[in-house]
Amino acid sequence: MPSGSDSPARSPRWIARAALYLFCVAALFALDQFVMAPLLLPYVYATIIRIGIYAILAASLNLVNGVTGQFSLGHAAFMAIGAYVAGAMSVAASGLVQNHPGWEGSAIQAGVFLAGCVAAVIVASLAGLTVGLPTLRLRGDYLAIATLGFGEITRVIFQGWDHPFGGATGLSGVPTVTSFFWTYLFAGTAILLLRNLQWSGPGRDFMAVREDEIAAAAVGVDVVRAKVVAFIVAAGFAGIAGVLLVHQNNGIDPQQAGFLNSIEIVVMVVLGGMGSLTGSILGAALLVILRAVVEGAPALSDYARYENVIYPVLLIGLMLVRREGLLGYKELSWKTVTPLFTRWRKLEKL
Amino acid sequence: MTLAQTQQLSADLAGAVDGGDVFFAMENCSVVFGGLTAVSKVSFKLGRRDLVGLIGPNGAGKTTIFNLITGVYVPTTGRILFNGNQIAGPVNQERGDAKRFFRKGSRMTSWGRRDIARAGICRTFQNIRLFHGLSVLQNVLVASHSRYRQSIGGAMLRSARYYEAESGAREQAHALLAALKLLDYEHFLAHNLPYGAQRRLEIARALATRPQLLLLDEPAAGMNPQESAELMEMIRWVRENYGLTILLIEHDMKVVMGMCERILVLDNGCVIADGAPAEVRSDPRVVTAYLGTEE
Repeated sequence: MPSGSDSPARSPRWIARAALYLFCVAALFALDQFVMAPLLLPYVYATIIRIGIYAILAASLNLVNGVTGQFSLGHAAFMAIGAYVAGAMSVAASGLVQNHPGWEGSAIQAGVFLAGCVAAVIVASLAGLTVGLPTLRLRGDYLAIATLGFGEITRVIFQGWDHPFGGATGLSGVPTVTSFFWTYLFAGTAILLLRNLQWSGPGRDFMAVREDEIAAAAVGVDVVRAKVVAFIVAAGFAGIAGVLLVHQNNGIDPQQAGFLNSIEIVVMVVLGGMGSLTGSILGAALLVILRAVVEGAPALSDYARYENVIYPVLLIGLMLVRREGLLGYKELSWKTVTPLFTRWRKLEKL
Repeated sequence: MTLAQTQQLSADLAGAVDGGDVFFAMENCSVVFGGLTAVSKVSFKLGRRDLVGLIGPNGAGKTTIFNLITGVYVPTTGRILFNGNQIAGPVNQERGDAKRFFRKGSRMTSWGRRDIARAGICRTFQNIRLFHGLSVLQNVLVASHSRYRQSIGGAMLRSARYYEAESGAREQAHALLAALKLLDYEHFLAHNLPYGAQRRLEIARALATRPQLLLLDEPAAGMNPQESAELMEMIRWVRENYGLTILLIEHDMKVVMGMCERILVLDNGCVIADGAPAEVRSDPRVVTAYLGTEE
């Protein structure tokens, strides 16, 4: 049983919750300023940021592939759309700033970054709507193929779009804004919102569609609407992840909208357990760390070219040993973690 | 069918249905799949709080009638009225309708399955269709969602209105689970329930949509005599308590004869008898349909 799903609805306490949220934001900021940024190696710091970004991607794809039971293979395209929109805005803004001495400063960069986030969410969600409306009437394999096609179309469009987006060489010159603070602010918020959505009325509609479309329609669930809404929400969050990514890598190239990147996100979701929010975050963390180790460790650098062998092998192994993914439908929570310790403590007493 | 014919037919039918006070009526409905007529010119009416059995040999078209009523199939002829609305039947083409270019005149339409469910007709399935991966409580909550609406944003941000809707839905769900003796299983996955409880959960889920007309497709199938006796009691209780109209398909004659006030007998897609259990049982046509004729 997924924990938290059946807990009784609590009464809202707005002020307390807003205060807690703001406190967490401040704590995150302090953690970044005083611990993460000064103490960690840049490579480790960047890897931790990537974990956050991919956690957003995997958690949002999980809403479509895991919770709603559709199979989208074009998630990286939404990420790329968000990245291109916000990246182009930041590049344009930094051009403006250069012409007006005295305007420099991280506050302006951060402002443009936040505006980029809003724009990216809107554009990515609209892309989700336009793709979702016609394709989500398809079932199973056909949907996978249609979304795959959408990813490739997006890649080709950005390849050919020279003026703001840099064409085949991609967008470059995006300022570095993404930090531990921004990444985990967005990742934490996104995961919180996705969790709330999954364990609510609309989330139950999504799961009902996954379990049985005919029965869902028979009890009054709007099946197509549920699918499209899940798709749009997921696309919006992928857009945010794109904004973070483009402001970390200082740019993006069209290849990132393509098939391989989408597959990588799918692998994360499948690895963690389709339908499990914490599972997909765990999957994202594991794969990002794996990649960072293979690419970063000097002793392994000879083997870095085998990187693309790892995913298929991992997937095949997983399907043979544990088809439902690491966590299955289960969620990691204190309820599942604390018994491990109490049991251990009991054993110690014996 | 030409426009003139259809209009004539609609006019005839409108004459037959005195006004809009009919609770539920199926008029002259046929369904043709290719060359096979699954349901042929079936007409019947249901009043409020009726408990009607629908019986007939295998392949008589019972489930097809359920599929017609719930919008799975569009009737080839005829129409279905519910609470003064035509939920299936001929509709005159309106301007701007894309399909007007392909078929002139009127065409047969049916409301979507979801709209019919929301209008107040809900069904259970012959082969149980629960949301197997969800808990018993969640199964019922899904169905109550159309009554206790939650917006996407409200759900994500956990707004006050979300809590209101959620607690209302949970209250209703708990009441239904208690009524159908499922409260002990509340947190079980639907998949892990015993068979009888799965059947009851399907009824609970249907009731959560607050239907006015409940269609039960073989609710006692696969149950032992004691279980089906309990189920009969439960169905009767549900009807009294929620003021429902129930139409049920059942093969177990003990259940049907013991419970229903009226029985419709279907054979080869036609209604061959319609009346009280005692009348129907002695109707020679029914005996022939079930047992065949003496040569």
